Amino acid sequence: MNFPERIDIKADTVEIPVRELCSRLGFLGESEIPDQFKDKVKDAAKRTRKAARPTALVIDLPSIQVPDGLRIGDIEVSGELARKHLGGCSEVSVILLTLGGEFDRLIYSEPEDHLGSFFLDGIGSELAEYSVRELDRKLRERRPDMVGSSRISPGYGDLSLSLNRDIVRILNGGDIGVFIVEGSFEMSPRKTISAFIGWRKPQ
Amino acid sequence: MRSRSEILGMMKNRVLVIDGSFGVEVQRRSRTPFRTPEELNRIEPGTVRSIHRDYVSAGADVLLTNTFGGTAHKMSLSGISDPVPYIKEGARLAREAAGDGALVFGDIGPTGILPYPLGEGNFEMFYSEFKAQASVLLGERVDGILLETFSDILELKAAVRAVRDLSEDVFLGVSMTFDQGGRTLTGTDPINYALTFNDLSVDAIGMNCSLGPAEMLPLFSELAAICPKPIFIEPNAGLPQLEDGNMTYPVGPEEFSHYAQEFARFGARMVGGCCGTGPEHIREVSRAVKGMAPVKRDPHPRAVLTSPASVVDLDQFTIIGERINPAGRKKLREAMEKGDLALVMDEARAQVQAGAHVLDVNFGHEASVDWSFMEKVILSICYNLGTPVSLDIQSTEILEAMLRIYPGRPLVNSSTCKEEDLMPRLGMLKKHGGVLVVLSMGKDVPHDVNGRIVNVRKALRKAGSQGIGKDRLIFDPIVLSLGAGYDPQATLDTIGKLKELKLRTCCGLSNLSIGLPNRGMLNASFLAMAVKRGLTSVIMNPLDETLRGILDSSLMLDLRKATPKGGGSEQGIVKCLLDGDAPGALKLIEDTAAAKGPLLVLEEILKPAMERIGILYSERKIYLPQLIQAAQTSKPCFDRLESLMPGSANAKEKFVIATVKGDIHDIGKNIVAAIVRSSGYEVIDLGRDVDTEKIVSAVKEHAPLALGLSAMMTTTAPGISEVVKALKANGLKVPIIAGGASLNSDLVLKLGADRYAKDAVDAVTFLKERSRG
Repeated sequence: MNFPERIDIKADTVEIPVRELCSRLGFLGESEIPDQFKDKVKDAAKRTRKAARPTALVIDLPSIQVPDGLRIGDIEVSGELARKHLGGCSEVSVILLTLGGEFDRLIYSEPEDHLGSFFLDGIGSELAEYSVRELDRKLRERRPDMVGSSRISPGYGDLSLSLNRDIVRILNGGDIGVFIVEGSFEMSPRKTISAFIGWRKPQ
Repeated sequence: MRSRSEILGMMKNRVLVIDGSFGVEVQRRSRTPFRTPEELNRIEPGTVRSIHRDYVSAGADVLLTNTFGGTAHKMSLSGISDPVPYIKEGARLAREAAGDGALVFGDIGPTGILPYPLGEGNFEMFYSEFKAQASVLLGERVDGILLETFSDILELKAAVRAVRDLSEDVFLGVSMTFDQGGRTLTGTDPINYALTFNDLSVDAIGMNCSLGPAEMLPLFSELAAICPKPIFIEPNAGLPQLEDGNMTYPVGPEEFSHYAQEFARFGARMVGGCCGTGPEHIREVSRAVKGMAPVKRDPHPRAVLTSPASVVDLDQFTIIGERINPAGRKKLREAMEKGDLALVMDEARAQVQAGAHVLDVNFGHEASVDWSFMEKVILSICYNLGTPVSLDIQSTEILEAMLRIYPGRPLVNSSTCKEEDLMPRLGMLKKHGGVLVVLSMGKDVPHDVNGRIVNVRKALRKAGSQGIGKDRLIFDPIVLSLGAGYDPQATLDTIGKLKELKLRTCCGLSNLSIGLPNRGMLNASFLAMAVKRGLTSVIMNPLDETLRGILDSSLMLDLRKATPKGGGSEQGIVKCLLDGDAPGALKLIEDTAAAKGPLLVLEEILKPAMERIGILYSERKIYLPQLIQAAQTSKPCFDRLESLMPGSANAKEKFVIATVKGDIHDIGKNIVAAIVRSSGYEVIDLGRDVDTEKIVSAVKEHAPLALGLSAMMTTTAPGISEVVKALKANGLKVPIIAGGASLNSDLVLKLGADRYAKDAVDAVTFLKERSRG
């Protein structure tokens, strides 16, 4: 029986390039945070790293071709993006990574401080993205004998956002506090990323 | 051979795919030892041909010739004394593989030599190297030339000039390479690069090599945001890694193609690969982008002056230091005539330290100064001090020579509006780039403002006819000597009028006080008045502390410079709000309300202040965080004023806002709510993940001026349509504005809303249009 594996990423060790952060926080074209906002961004970054607990669940499932696309475990996946990146892969890692509920609460801790919330939200987005990149790297390191596909996520291209429901179900997302928002396929906590990486043998 | 316009036409219709790396491929495939990849064009042409063919089969629209390192200098380092046969053969092999389908671009890389004062290179050396190589490629009838992997702005400028002196008809693309800090080797950032080369006769501006696609994305987004010309990209297949002594690149074809789509979404008109990419990468890129319609960008170029590592924004008040001018200064004149750089550089350094943003360089009696010394002065200021230069040169011949070798976008000081004076300088600007100071005079100086403005309009028309817009012109209102009976009011009025026309201005102060006592005081007083009328730059002595002090104070009073707290006006409050100075803003509001009454302060100071901040944001003069901070800071001021007003005077128009059902993302919605509130509306914020019924009830209860709906995800966007239908079913009519990451104008209209808001300022504009007041 294949069970989801829990992987913790240390928020302190995840590096976010300053330029990307500038861009995310609205300082387009800057390579440094402007002096006027440096302290506030620094403070937000500190609070983010304290509250965020980048935690992932990963399960490796067999993937087979079916008439409409692929079946990964019991998840039916269709569309061009999945065909292109996961087609021909014998196995697929199904991934769910979240910064956790405490970070969500932090964003809303001072409802009148819109700028503070905006900075926390932006830094959180980057932290989630770079955490999943770190996880991606670790997963590839573990499989030197396999070729990994691009990491693809529901909601991008024609990969349906509704797959989030299957991913959360199959990984028992509740174990790390992730659930699906009723009425949509958004995930809560807000800074949560779902993804697939396909694996095939080198030709 | 395809024409320049034909290739530009192709780029308008679809995203072109450039081939991938050549160097790595030849290393992998060649059977013969070779000194440089270009050598294989003759000793192993089959391998070169097969690489080209593989790229064509993979779907490349553009093949680059195997001539990247084909300058005479680079080839000589490999012991090849005559590069011509290798370049010719390189072009022929690419053409043979391309057939009638793919385009062939002659590939030219840098020489590897740094320019003076960083190295031994200079413009003419670079120019002759590139001209020789380009001449061979053009002789072989390539469809275009691509200058790629350049790391210095001067070397690239020389290459552009070399190609254009050979042909105005050939397609020409330029590409620089950036490190992870977003700078080239000699310090140029993407904004500087884009604006400098936008002036020149190049057809596409791109980036390549050094970084992988992930690292290049933020840099490319900067280029996309500012560059008016078509843009392109050729990333490496990630950052190289050393494995068992071999260089490997981690980004595989599929992942690479994913990024290619991202670049196309940012507006790339050509996408290819550099080191580590091969035919498989290009095959995937081709699949990924070929169906994509080119994305139309909305770039916002800025008016700037540049040196290799700095950008001076002409929308900020600009001080041009005047002291590199030997008039009346014997030692400096002698130093210039002797070619003594040290004294000139001391003068330059002192001015920069005193706050000059740009240095005016005047060589006095130009015939007595060696041209090579002039070049050294200009390059030393640009590279060593990082300061752009104003070329205050009288001789058109020398001016053109210095413009030609200038590493960036200089200021040209100056031209009158006389045809014989203006047209040659506009011609130089068109050819070499730069910004021109235009004196608002013809043969004579008109006595009144109208005559000067007639000249200005004439100059604008002439410049327009040369394709030079007002962002590349600065107008001098003409300062004449007070001692000679001149009336300074005409100059001040001209500045005011030029401000109304949204034109930039510059004046030299010193003429004003020639022959009079207390010159410093006169100059300073005039400068203060000129700043108040809207002057945007000045040529002055930055070492004059009185003048600097008065200038700083004038700019503070005019709210163009950070100040200690103060000012009981709209401008004063703008400053406090932008600085996030809540106590200062509140005190200012309370003090002014005590004198003028709260209603007047609300209508004439606080609301216009937020309106002005909204305009500053729309014009990209402030950042989004400044807009948010201003809105946040204004809240206690609104609250305070409301508490001082009777209930009836307090009635405000209402705006209901919500994030639709199923959507929990509300940071954007919260920002919109805060900014709308700070523009004087009552905001009823229903929160996130709001039931349609609750939104309908709120509209029924509050009868708002408009309803704002936010939806972040594609799955929640249909929630807007649900609300529209429910309102209709309830017989409620309310204008609806919608925004969010997944939306665009077309989609919003399809969903039944009235307008798409790309940001909070759009929402405020929408409300103003519908205001009942």
